[in-house]
Amino acid sequence: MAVWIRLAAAIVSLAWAGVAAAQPVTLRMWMHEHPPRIPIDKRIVAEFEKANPDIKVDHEIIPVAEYPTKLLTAFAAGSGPDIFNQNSMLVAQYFNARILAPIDYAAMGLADEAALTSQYTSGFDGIRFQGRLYGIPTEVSNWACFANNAIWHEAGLDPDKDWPKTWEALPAVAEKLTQRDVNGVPRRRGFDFNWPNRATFWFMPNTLLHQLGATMIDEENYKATIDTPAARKVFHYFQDWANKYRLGGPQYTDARTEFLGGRLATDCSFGIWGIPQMVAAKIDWSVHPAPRFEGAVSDNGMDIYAFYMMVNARSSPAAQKAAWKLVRFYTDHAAELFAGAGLFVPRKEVTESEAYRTNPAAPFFLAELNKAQFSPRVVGYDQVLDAILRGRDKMLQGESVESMLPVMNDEVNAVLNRERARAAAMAK
Amino acid sequence: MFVLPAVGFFAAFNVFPMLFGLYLSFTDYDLLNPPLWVGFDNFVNLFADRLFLTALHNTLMFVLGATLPVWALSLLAALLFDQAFRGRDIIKATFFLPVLPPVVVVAVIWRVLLHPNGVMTWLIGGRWGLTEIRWLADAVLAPLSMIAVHDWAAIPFFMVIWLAGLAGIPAELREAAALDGAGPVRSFWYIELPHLRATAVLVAALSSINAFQTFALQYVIPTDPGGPANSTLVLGLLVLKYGFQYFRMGDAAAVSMVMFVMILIVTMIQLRFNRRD
Amino acid sequence: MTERPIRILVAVAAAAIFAFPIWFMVSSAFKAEPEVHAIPMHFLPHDFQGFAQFRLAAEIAPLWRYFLNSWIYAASHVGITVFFGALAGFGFAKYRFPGRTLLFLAVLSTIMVPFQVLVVPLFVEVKWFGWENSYAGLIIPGMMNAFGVFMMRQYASDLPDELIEAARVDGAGEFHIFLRIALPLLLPALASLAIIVFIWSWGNFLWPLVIVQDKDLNVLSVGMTSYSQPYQREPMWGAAMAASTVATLPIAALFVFFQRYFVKGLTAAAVKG
Repeated sequence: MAVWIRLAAAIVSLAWAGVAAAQPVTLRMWMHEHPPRIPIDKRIVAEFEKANPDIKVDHEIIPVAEYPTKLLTAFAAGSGPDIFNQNSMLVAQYFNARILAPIDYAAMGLADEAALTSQYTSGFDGIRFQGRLYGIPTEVSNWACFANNAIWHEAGLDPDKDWPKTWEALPAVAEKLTQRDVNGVPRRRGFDFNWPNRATFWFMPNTLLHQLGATMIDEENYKATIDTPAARKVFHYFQDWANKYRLGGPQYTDARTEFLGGRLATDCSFGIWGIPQMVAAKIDWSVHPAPRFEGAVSDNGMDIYAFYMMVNARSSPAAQKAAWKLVRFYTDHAAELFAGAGLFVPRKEVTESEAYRTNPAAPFFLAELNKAQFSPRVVGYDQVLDAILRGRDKMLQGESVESMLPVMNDEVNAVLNRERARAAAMAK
Repeated sequence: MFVLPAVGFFAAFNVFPMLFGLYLSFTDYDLLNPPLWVGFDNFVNLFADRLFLTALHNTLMFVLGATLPVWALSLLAALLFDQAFRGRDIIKATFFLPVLPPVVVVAVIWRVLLHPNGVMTWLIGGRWGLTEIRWLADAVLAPLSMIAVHDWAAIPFFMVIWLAGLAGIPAELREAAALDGAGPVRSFWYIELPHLRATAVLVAALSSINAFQTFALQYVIPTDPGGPANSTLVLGLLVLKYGFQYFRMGDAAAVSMVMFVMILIVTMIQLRFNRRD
Repeated sequence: MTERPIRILVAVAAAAIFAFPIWFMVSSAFKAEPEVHAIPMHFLPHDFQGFAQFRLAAEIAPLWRYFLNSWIYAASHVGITVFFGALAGFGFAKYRFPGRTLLFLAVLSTIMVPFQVLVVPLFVEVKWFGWENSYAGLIIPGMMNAFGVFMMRQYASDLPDELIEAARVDGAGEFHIFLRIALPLLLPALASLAIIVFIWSWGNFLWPLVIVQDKDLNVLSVGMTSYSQPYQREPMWGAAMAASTVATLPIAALFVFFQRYFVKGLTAAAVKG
């Protein structure tokens, strides 16, 4: 008798749990527009819905230019998506506004953090706050330098043998590749920084400073550390590049467009995802490590940035659980995302995949990735970056580096202090 | 009542936002968290804020460059087209073309024309053999370029207003002056100018109010809105930056309040000139 | 009259200088991309492209969608402003009621306020209604114009009272009087107002920029930035010029066909202000 009762009870409670679990949840999922990735997204979502009939996914793609604004507006209106991806430069802001939910390992079917991170060789530093993780990388990217072999050969140079290993050696090599008109104006540049691209001037100074063992922002004390001898060296370099050597500058077409158009010999603002674009543009490319400073303390290449998939802390608990399930499901398709869209994450499935093994540049990128660092994370990224760009532009207009750096330092500190004060006020 | 729909609309979409904006200017509001009252802090901080001071300076320079030359040149143009001559209507219509495109189109066209190796460089620098003029990348040339573009579109527009004013001057007066042997300059000074006082004030007021609020040119033409090293950052653009790029809505509201007060003061001063009769 | 030839010469020179960029726009819309940047500039396309650049423009960004949205935006503004402006103007002009002057002055004062003052709070307000990034949010704020009320009141007060009285004696309702008597008489003023509002709405940049994020909802003025600042792509200036030409056409058409009202409208706007 007792056995039957216990069995009946077990069946009833299981059925009850089943009913509860079968409450249909609709997840709103927002991702930024990266055309090659979209068909893969749709496939993954369809697969997920089939495997989880009680979860519906409303997958929306948003153009990159509008994405940050749209996210903020939606969160502000209380109608933010349940699951979304965003790049590592902006996550600090979301964390500060307490929008991010910490990873729910149980909902993902994992034992703990180690179970997750052991699958990757790196990539989580950008989403770790106060010791906890708030998302999973869908893309970990580092830029490297590409040479247009045709132009190099035309100038009598060999991209492999003559590649400048140091920043100090770069101007001379770039000069050989530059074509100028009667007034000395560069009509075809040998190498130029991607001045118009804002993010470039976040990564480049940070990368160069990391090589010199310094940093722009002291993340622990949340202070700017821009007025330093290392920074002076770095910004002098940029200033000389445009004004002394006249090898380029912000008034010219941006480097990525020019490189893909075959009008720039060298560019260092592409990640591994750039290769399909170069192939499509019929550029005979070769990839090389970013130069280092002579006597550099750290042998790092370009700084890393990542895209993370995160969950909205303000969504309902049921939605959050379902969301983390989807996050794990999505990121488990890493190999497919790499093969189809060139999005790299340092995971075994990817590094052992066919697409990876047949990609000649892949091991190089991974090697550089393992040596590189994340750029500092700040709240108010846009404002900080604006302050840096302002200072940069003033230096290009002729202001001295020594006088501009303290100004930049002050301005960035003002931003950081504001944000910290506001966070403190909100926490009350 | 007939006026109700309109009045109701303005209350909801003009008066209320204005008051709400005033409230916001005393808060720190980042859209994600509720507004935090900070009293006059936003305003006080503005005057130590380098961005604001730069924008203020740039706006004043722009307004000067956008009103004085426009006032004078559009008057000259009106005088030019005021008397009938062969083909006047067609030529006048051609002169009027810059007014037709929307301001963003004007910006796009000039962005191409002002390319460092482009048409304007060729036209203007060509005679000195210059192949590159950094119209938009030089911190001094960029604001001047903005003024030039603005004036290009404004002069024909205000010419029409001057013409309307001139048309109000009785023809007999001018004929009488001509008969008396007065040359064109004296005729203008003693006959037309006095009658144009109202129009003159109107042109000055309209062009300055418009110039204070202009931001589309500075947003679209330079590669980086606000121009190289913030040389073309004007107050209108700053409101956008604070409000929708940095999401510091309280600061944006504060800047807009300052703009409003400035426009009010300038307009009041100009209207004084009208009353002084 | 020896000053005539000089006058004509100066006028022609001035017109040529000022019209030159417009010519550049239109001629470039028919040139191939490299020719757009040719130095020295080609006044006429050497390699006439037909409508290729227009087709390209439509590929780069949803040009016709932008065009349509601009029409929807401008037309709805014109319709609503003109009708309710006339209604309110008529009301202020012909009817006495307590607080009339005060209310009118209040309405008038809203003209003085620059839009930058309203843009942030309006954005927040529209968000409360849930209208952000929608046609409602785009069109509704700003769909009535205080200037329209002002202008219509000026013209309406010139309407002969006798006509209105006569209609009343005949037993016509107030609204009927407005519709059948006042509106037809106000037609020229309405036309001028319509043109002013159309031009202003067509070129309005700030509000659509802030409130609309979807490409499908965007209007032409904001859409133009897709051509001048495209994301991760080289700007195609020939296509940008084609799009610019498309964006200018409606206003140019208005100018050509309704020049009288056009000019009258501008001057009325200015003078009455």
